[in-house]
Amino acid sequence: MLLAEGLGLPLWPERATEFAVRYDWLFIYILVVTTIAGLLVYAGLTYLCFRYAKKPGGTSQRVLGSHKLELIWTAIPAAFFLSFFVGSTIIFDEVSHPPADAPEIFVVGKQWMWKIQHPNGVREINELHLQDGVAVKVTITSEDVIHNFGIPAFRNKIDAMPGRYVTTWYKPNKVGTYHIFCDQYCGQGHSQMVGKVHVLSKDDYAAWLEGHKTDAPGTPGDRPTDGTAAWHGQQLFFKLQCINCHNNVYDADSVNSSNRAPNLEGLFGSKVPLEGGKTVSADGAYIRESIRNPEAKVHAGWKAIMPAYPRAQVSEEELGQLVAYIQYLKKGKLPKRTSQDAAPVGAPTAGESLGDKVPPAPIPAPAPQPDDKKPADKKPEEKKPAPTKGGN
Amino acid sequence: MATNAHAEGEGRQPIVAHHFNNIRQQQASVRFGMWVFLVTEVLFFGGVLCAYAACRIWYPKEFEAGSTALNPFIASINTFLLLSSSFTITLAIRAAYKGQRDGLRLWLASTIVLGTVFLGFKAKEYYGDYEEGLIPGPQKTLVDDVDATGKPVLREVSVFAVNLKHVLEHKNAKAKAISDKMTWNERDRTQMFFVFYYSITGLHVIHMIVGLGLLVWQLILAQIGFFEPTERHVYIEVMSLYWHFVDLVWIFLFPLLYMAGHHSMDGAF
Amino acid sequence: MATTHAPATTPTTLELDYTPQTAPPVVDVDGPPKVHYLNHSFGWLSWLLTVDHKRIGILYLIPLTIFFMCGGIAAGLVRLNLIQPYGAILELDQYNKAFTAHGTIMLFLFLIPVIPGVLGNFFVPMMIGAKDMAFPKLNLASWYVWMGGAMFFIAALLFGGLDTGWTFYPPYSSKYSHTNVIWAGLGVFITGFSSILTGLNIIATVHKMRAPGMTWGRLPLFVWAMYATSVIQILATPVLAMAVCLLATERIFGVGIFDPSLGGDPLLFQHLFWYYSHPAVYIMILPGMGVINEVITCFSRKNIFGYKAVAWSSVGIAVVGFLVWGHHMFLSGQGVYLGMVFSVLTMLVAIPSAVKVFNWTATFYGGQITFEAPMLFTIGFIVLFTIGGLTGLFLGILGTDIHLHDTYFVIAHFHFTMVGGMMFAWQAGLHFYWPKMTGKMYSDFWSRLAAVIMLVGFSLTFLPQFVAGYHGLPRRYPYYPVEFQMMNILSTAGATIQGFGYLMPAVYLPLSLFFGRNAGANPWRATGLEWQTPSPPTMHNFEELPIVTHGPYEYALPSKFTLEDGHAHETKGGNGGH
Repeated sequence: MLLAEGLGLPLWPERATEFAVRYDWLFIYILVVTTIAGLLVYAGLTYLCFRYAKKPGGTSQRVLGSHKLELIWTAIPAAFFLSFFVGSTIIFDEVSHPPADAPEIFVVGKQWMWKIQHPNGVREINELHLQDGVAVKVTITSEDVIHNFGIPAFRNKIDAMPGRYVTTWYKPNKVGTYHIFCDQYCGQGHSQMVGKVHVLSKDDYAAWLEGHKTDAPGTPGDRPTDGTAAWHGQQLFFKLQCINCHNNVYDADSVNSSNRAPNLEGLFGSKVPLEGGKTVSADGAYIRESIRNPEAKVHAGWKAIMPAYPRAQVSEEELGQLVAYIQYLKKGKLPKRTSQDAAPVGAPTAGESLGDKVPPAPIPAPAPQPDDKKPADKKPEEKKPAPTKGGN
Repeated sequence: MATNAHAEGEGRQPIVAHHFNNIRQQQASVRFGMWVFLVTEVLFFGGVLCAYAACRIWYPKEFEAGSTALNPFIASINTFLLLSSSFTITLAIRAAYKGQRDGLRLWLASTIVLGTVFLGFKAKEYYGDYEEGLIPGPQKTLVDDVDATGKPVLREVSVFAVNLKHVLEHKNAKAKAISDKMTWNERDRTQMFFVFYYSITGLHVIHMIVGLGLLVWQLILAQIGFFEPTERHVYIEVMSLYWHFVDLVWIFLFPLLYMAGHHSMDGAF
Repeated sequence: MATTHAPATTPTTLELDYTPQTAPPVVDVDGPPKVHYLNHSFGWLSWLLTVDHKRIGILYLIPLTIFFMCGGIAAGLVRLNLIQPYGAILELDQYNKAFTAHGTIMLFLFLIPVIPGVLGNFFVPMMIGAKDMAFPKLNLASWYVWMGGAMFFIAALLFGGLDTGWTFYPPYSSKYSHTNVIWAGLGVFITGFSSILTGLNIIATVHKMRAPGMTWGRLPLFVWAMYATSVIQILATPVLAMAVCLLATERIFGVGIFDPSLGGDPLLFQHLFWYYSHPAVYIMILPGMGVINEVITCFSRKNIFGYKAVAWSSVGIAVVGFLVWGHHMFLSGQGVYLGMVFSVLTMLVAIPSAVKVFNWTATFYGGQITFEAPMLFTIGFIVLFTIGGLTGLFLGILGTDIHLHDTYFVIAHFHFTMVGGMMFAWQAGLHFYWPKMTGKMYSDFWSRLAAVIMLVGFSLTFLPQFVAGYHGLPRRYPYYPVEFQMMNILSTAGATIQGFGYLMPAVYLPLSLFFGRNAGANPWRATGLEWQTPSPPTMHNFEELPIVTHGPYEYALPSKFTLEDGHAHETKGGNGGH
């Protein structure tokens, strides 16, 4: 390793999380054991080669083996291997279970870049800013081929699989800038699918955040109207017409009614009963699955009529925003179906997007909407009152 | 395969090949070689059936629909033909063992005929599928559809999906019921079933063709009296091992492909 | 001679003394026989239509050498490109094609067939006292199938190339790659069948063709290793063939079995692929381990230490090797508990490998060791394979794999086992058996020098890669952060030295055919049945059916008679004093 220092690499690779330190201890333990084992073999080999080198007139001994020795050198490695296994499983368990309250960062790999979205709505490409000492949960997926999101300084790495959502977490504890690598071969630009993770001190992080809140008036927090991921999710909730069925208004004669689909308020984190008596915990994975493949786990008592939303319609990024919105959607948070806080980005005109054919409801007037399309400050007030009867 | 390696040559050739010490060693080697080969074959079909199982667990509805669109009638006849051919080839071993040249030729020829008729029906079935347009592929078309709120939209779906809908709706009431319950996405995805259908039956057909080629070769050898020394019945025997294996594969394929609809795994997982 | 029959008793009923008091006779005849397998007939057709297992072995040797050079050139391009952080000579996609060509050629066209094809074909029948393989024509057919597949493969690489890496992971390979995935897949499919047929032949040969008295407990350990290899070949290869088939289907029809955007799952491919490809690394290394047993006993004039342990560890590796494929997929979201099962099984499969290393080392105890080229290669094997095996532990357990997965650490580990292990074993075997195959002895000095140069070059190439890998450098990167440059330059320097090392045998071995002295029947004074025939062997190997009366490697017993042929290798006799 000293050699390494003279050759452009530091003595020991940077460690920027507590996990990395624990990882290194495990690594060093195995390294020491294996080095000793290797050196013992080499020492034995060297000694025997010299001791029993051919001598004129010498004879070799007829040694056939020794059950005792075989047993010893089967059992001792086995014991050490078992200790490696136990230690490593503890480490792996740690890395696969994020702290429950950690904010979730959503990472999408695509040929050949990393798209990163913070819970407060800030989006980055190939850069990840983290606050020193704050644990974050990271959910990773891919839009095309298999990638791998690896940060050597965190001793962390996980595959970005298309169609799957894998989760890991970091708690950086050392300010600095470190590499992000794509470790799974993904085509021509594989080696350019790299980035930097910046671990900032609390003040620096706040300053950085300040500079990135251009589309986020208000403070990041509870409301979905401040440019957060949940806010984007709400826009999609209208744009994709989710709210036409997933609302809280029951009207037996209307198709735009909660007689077709469950109300999603308070869904996140609850237990969803399925057909056949099983239940499933409504976490991010369940919600993603229910959007991509609605028939997989149908809420008991509801018909599987929801169309599937493949990646062509809802990108991985948007899916993350929808999940964030549904997570936000506590009891009483659901807006009116016909209310339009702001025209969703890229949405068809208001009349079309909520085109109700069956009940000749008036075309929802974008009444409280200010002229600019950005979320205005007054939105929160509008949302606060508990949902009343909807437009139908 | 082992058969091929040794069945060559005229009756003049020594019965025991140059590298064997005696006839028993030779016979044992030939039998053993074929068994080892069949182990490989089991793994070969095992791999694809594993993939089939995984996909069927994911998409039971699509597999049910795909299976319903197939023609079980032809397949049933084929099952009967193939099982009969297993019987005739066993009679061929008996004839070879007893040195009955005429019997051997008769039973070998019957096996060949049964196998060929099987292939003929199979070709007819493939042609039927082709005519119905049940060929997976990337070609797309537009259809009328309604969205979740009942609003009419134009939707881009694969040509296959349209054909599948048509086939199911005109087949029988049960098939129509299945079809009516499907979304366009599911119809598209039924292509997966057909990929398995074509690749597995295709592999089976290739095995049949190889087997028929070897049978014809043995028929010629029987004609010129190669099997007169009854020790050589072992070649017929390993041929029959192979043929039974091909049969056995079909016994697995028939329910997996043609009867998937009647025992849907819905709710089993 | 063609119809020599066994004695009336069958092998199983022979009552034989298992603990012999004298070593087998060491035959040594000056000069080759007048008629041997190389000169009993001439002309292209006599080679292309031969069913003689020895000639088929030579038929494998020649294209294998050429493929090794092709793979080596691709490796050279890759290493040369990496001396600069932004690529010295290749464009990005050229680099991707180069490393894919290196990986695929070396694995599918060199490492998998090399020892089974050459030494397995040549020596398994001779070691068990048979005149040929159980199915000679099938053996030749297997060569043709292999050549056919190899041609497909080479054509795919030459005309358009392949850029998926040797792992063919979808959805990259099924949808995003614009290279010859289908043709290359066809090549893999066809060469796979050759591998199956060779394995089948060897299994049948070992089961049914053993000479009288050659019980399972007396089989040379090379035969045990080849047997274990063949079992893996016939059980794993068809699954790869199937996976490649499905991949091609997906690519042609655009139907998703593996592509998640069409409803499939890429993990399904990874499971099918690694179900073959993990055992495949044992297909590659087990024959090498077998060769090591033969060489190490011969040059230390000793019985192998713990015959049963070594034999059963081969079988153990073959069996448990089937259950560990998931350790390639720890980070792909396959589930923590599944990962734990695969991890603990991986620890289990490491044990027999460790046992082998210990037994080899212990074999030196009490020997009369000499250090000819095969022995030097063998010691190199033990040194490098120990590192390769131990570093495998870091990758086989869940925790440490998180950081090391897909870095240069993996590359270094894999090359330490495959090149440091298998390539050195292959060189050891080639140098050990060259006198038997050709009847000529090569240069003692140059061969020893080559062994040393390869060892030095190899270590310089791959030791820095462990460091680079731990610092996080990912594999398959044509561009890399500048701090890794020195490591890469060291690697490239080592690769250059290694390249020279590999070129040396390619010169002195062919030269020995013309200028080498006659080796005699048994230049190493080895005990195996294959050395009881003249060099080169005659057409049917044995003029009389040999009867085996004791186990292999009885070097330490006083021989009935010894011969000092007066040549330079007189020091090789184990027990000159008797």
